[in-house]
Amino acid sequence: MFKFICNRLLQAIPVLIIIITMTFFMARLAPGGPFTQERNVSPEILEAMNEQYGLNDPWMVQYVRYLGSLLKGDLGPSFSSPGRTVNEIIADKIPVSLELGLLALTFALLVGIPVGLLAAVMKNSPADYIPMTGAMIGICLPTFVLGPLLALTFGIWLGWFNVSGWFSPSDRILPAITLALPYAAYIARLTRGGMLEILSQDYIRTARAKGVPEWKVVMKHAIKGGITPVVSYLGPAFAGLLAGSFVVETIFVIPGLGRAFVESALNRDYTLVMGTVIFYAVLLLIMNLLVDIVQVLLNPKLKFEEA
Amino acid sequence: MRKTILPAFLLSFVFVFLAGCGKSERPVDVAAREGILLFGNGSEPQGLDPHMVTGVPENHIISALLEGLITYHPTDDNLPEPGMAERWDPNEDYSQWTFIIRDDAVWNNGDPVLASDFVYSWQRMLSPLFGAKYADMLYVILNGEQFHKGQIENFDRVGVKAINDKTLQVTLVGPTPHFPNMLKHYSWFPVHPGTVEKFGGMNEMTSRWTLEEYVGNGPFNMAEWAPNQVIRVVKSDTYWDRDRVQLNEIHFRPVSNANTEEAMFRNGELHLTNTLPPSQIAIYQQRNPEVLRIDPYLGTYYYRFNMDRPPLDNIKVRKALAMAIDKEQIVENITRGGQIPATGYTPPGMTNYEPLDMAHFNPERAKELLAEAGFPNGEGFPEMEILFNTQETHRAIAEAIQNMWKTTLGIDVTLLNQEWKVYIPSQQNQDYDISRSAWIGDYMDPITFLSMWTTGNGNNNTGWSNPTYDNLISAIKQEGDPEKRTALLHKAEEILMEDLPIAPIYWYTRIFLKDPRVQGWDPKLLDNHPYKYVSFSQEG
Amino acid sequence: MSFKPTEHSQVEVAPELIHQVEDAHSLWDDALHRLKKNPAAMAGLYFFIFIILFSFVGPVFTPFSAEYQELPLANTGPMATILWEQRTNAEGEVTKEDFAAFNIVVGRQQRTGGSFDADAFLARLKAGEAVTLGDRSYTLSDRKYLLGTDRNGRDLLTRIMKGGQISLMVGFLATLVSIVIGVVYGSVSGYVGGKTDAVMMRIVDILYAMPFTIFVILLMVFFGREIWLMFMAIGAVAWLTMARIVRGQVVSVKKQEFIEAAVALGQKHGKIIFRHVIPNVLGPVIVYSTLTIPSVILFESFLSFLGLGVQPPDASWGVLIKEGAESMTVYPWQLLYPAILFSLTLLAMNFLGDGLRDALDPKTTK
Repeated sequence: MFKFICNRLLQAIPVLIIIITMTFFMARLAPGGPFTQERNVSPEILEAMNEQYGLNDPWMVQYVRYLGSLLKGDLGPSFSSPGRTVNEIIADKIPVSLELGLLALTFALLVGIPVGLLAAVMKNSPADYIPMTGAMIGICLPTFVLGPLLALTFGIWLGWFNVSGWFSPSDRILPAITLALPYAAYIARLTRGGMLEILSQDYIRTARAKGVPEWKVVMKHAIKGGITPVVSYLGPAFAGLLAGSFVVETIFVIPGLGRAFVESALNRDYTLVMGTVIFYAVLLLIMNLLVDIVQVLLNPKLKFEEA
Repeated sequence: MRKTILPAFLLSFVFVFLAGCGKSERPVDVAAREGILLFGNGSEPQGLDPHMVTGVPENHIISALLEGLITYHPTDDNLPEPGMAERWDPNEDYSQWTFIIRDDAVWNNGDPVLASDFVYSWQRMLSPLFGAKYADMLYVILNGEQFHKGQIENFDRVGVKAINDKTLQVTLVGPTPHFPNMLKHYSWFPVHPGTVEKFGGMNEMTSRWTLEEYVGNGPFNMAEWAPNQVIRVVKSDTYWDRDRVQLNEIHFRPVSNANTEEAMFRNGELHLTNTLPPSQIAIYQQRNPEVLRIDPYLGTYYYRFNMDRPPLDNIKVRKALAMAIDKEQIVENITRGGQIPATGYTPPGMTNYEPLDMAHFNPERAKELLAEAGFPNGEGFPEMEILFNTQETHRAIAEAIQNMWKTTLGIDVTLLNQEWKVYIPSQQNQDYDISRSAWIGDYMDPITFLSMWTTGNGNNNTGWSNPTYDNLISAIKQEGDPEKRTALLHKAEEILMEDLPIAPIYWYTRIFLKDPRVQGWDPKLLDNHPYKYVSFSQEG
Repeated sequence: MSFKPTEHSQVEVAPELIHQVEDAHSLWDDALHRLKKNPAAMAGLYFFIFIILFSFVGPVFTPFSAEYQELPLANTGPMATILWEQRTNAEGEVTKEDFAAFNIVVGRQQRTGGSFDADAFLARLKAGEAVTLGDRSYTLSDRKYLLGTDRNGRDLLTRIMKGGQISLMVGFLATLVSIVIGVVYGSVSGYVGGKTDAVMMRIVDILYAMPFTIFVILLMVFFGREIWLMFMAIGAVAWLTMARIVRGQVVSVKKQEFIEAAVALGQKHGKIIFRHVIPNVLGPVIVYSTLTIPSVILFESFLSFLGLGVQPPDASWGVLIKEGAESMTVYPWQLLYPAILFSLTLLAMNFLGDGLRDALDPKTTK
């Protein structure tokens, strides 16, 4: 296992370099720049600004310089918030996103897996149809509908929560649920699908034939294999929860990473784009590594060399 | 017995929890009592250095922290209100101005505000190495443009001089009767030279002084800046007019989503919103007219024609297109916020300048003109595209205009929406046929609208060039007599509306929600509300 | 398409062609038979057929075209009363006439004229009278919009139908692209394993981390606004998770005896992948596909934001839902109807997908 992890970490280096390189040049290829604005800026001013941020140099020079400072852990100055560094901006937002993401993930798993299990065991019964219909509606209901609906119900009508901000602990509840519900629905569907696959396998039938109680069959034998698709899904899902919460953050006015992710691209804040992409990539690589480890642990037939 | 106790216990726990969450007193009530204004401020400010920024949300915050020589009047943007300057005097033809800075004007670190602070600040604005985006506002100062473009290196030759500690003399390129109105804009605000020097000097673009040590001279001091959360400013006890300031704090909340803002207002989390979604306006008019505010605003919504793309170079085609737009339908049914169908380019509300009454909806004449231009019933009209940046209202208006041109003129245009930073270069490189645009005035004078249409101006972007117009604008800049000047302005705008490189659609309004307790928030064309006049009435 | 190790060895022993045909024939028959016995799946199938007809044939039967605008009737409610308004000048000449929504007229009267009896007004109109209010006179129009109108006064029903055409196409084509790429890629990666697997999966990681907004903007810069770009842009992201899931499944499937048996029998790897591996991962694939379709359809509205995808005045379901959400507290029907149709369609596809999955899997016998 140690060797496997080392190996994967080594693989991560070229992956990151490719991601950094591609993002660096893609961002600069896109029309508009960090200083593009409606009120025309005279060429002299633009020149002065580009000069100070080193944007007048050839791209290759900028690229090498960027890699150099990156090695020192410096992600550079942000273009859209003058004076702030990208390190500072991301460090500010990570705790918020982490908290929101973990809350949402916990909620999604706590709801999704039991519902999926129940639906699989009680296949083609109301206990299957009703939650699965609910899950499907959860998937169809986009966050930009769900968020305002929850805010309207629990904020304005019932008066239980604030509809914005990230100040008190109760401010966490609505955004976390909004973010979690579609994921919960996905997880429920995937759990059900995975469980059905396993429940029809021979070894499960054998276990049943031997008179092992059904709950034990499900919880002890089937679940390990049954949640494989869920586990595969969780890697990208968690990265998505952390970085892809743009809509939720906008609706509930939360200072998280999701907005930095989208807005940096829209603002052409090159350094912040790079910073968020690198953060996301590292997170994704770690999550996928964890997922692959868990997959081996769940499936004793697998060995680490193959995962 | 036991079986019933447990659920009952759990249930009561749930109720206690829910009751704990329920708010008996809303944030706005608490804040109003404590003199804290909760203000929805649109998007997160990109910075708070008055010499760097360009946006409206930034302006709202900076005007609490800093004060220029002349400041905004509480009720009428046409009137100058003494700020740092106690009094001021122009020379005979308004080309040289002397400002006397008040004795009790101090920075919040105790330093006095000096005439030399303004010289320093304006040098910073014009410094070619600094790159202030509003530097051209200061081109009105003698040799300001030359210094900014590097043609003059000695700032002493620029027309701004500190005669003594408290006397500032400004020499302008020409007669400028509206100079006091220009001075209200934040690009003319002073910064504290010592602090700016401490954080890397005049030309440091990434200076952290606004983040770490905001030394201001305004009615409020910076207390906290939590990005994307809140900016908190508290009442200053060094501000010269501190006795007038009634608010203790202002919390600027960056809320970019209009629907969220409306929900926050309804949930008692804001006293003031930045805007209101068009769909909500009718509802508020009907149910809560006391919190809805629709104020006139110094802005024009219009369509640009690319004059370099035939047949748009044909004046008859442009006229036909402009005349076929039923502006009344647009403001009544799409924007629905009391916007005024624009009959000229410069919006109403400026003293001594009546807006033009030229551009009208006239479908019959539009059809004739199009036929005269060689496209009877739109036959043979090439495929054209309307460019707009992605936004609900722009899309709705573009779809309506597309339909009007189709039904009235029989021509088909397609719609093209682009994300902001793609749309701006398309417009600036004139890579479009017809493009949605808007202009918001920087100060109270028609020239802020009209000077952009001169040949080759960076904000023209239509390819329109009219020597008569260019000459008129130059003449206006040299005219010292206010009445003659107004006449020239009118003449220039008439040429613009005759040639129609643009089709004006409507004049803006500011639509927002306001807690009835908030007092002293008067309708202002430039949307500047001096906070020192704002207070809460407790009964509301 | 059978997976039991014993059957596989039979297949391999017997002459291939005949068995393939027979196998396929009987399997599909069985599958169809099983499908027909599943009421939820059949209901899904029928609804799905209905929604295709609704979207593609429906617009022929609606009284309005999707582009037809009547601005004064913007945001008119479903089946709302509509009036005909005539303005007259002092001389009694009609200067302007147009449609007017009943509730807007009433609202205006109540705001300006204090108490205004809307019921009496309606009663008089219904009696066929022309009612004069100030300088305007009203008569009842027989026009009705079944599902109301949108913010430009267009018939919502027709727009939902037209939107369905686009969204169904986008949903299916993009999902299909993602299935084909994802399944093949994931299977090969998982089956081959080793270095190939590592490289292939790291490529997926790279694509995952790419800033998508910029990617789409660049696509448009270099290729214009072609419709196929939209599928490409969606397909480019949708297949990644699919590939990961498939690979995860394949890695565990390939450890099973029948695959090892096929390898031992000397079958070609390509054949093993397509004949034995892929059929065994179809369950999760179908499940994940039914999850991909809705997200793809909604995702398309984000592409519209960037300027790719459907261009106005056309609107997809994603765009209609997004627009409806903006004004959902005021004009709920603009969100409700497209959202209901969208959800029902996906629910139907979901049940159909589940049914198919069960039907294709011979082990699930009751």
